[in-house]
Amino acid sequence: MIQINIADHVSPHTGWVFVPERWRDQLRWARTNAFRITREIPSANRYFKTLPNGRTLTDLLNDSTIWINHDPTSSDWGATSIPHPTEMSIDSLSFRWGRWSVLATLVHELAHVNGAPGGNDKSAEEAVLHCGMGRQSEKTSGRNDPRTPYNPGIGG
Amino acid sequence: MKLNSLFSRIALTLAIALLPAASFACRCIDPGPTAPAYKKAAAVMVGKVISVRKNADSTVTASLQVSQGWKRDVSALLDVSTVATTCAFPFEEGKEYVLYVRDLPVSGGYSTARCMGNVAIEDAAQALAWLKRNGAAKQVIAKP
Repeated sequence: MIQINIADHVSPHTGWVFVPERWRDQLRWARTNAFRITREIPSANRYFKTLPNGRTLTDLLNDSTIWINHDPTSSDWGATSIPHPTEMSIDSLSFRWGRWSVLATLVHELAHVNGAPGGNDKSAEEAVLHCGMGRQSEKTSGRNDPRTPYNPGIGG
Repeated sequence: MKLNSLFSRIALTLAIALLPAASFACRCIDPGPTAPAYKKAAAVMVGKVISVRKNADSTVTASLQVSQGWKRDVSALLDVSTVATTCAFPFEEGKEYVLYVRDLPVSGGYSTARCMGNVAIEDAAQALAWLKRNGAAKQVIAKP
């Protein structure tokens, strides 16, 4: 299973540290529900298979070499390391918005681990949609519905 | 709990939150109008990218020819780095930007990223007008 850095891991990505204790429950909830998504929403694994590394979401969630860290300097939702692509950080904005936002960020970053490009490419965020956390109409119209975690404007 | 009911919970949970209408570039919130980006930045500048180099730690450093600065005096020739993550700002050689930068805590110098408000000069009319009206213009210091 993917690992949460609880001070038992030194991230090779400079500046990324353990997830503060007050946020770990949200992260554990997100991980549990990511597994639930793989069981209940078939399009999740189907979509992940189409990403460059071709792995399913189930496979990624079961990979204990993937680490979730925290970047204390970031005011963003999260990021994936370029030199160390099995290292991600989930950051203060996600936690402040709550566990659904943490889950959406986890799915988005796992799509990067699976090879989804950064920059203006939208395929990482589209994983959030295929995991049942958005509406197709948002993708079609390009307009964000603030009631869902998916945001069609997010690239990177 | 089934996911269709979980989805309703998403709607309820997020109904009270407002997302900015501006499009995002990373899994981060674009600051939108110039004022918040200006407030958060250590310095703001107009700079043309002379060269881009990839560093050993996978960060990228752009060497800039700076023509205008706000908040702090800035050198006419300046290096600005960007992070080694999916939130890296995509510097393009030869392009000119309005850049919002922060201090690099350990090594000194400046860094920037997506979602800091950076904008290509051709799209920066509104930002430049705001900076002219409200920004604290500073000197661009030519190196000897």
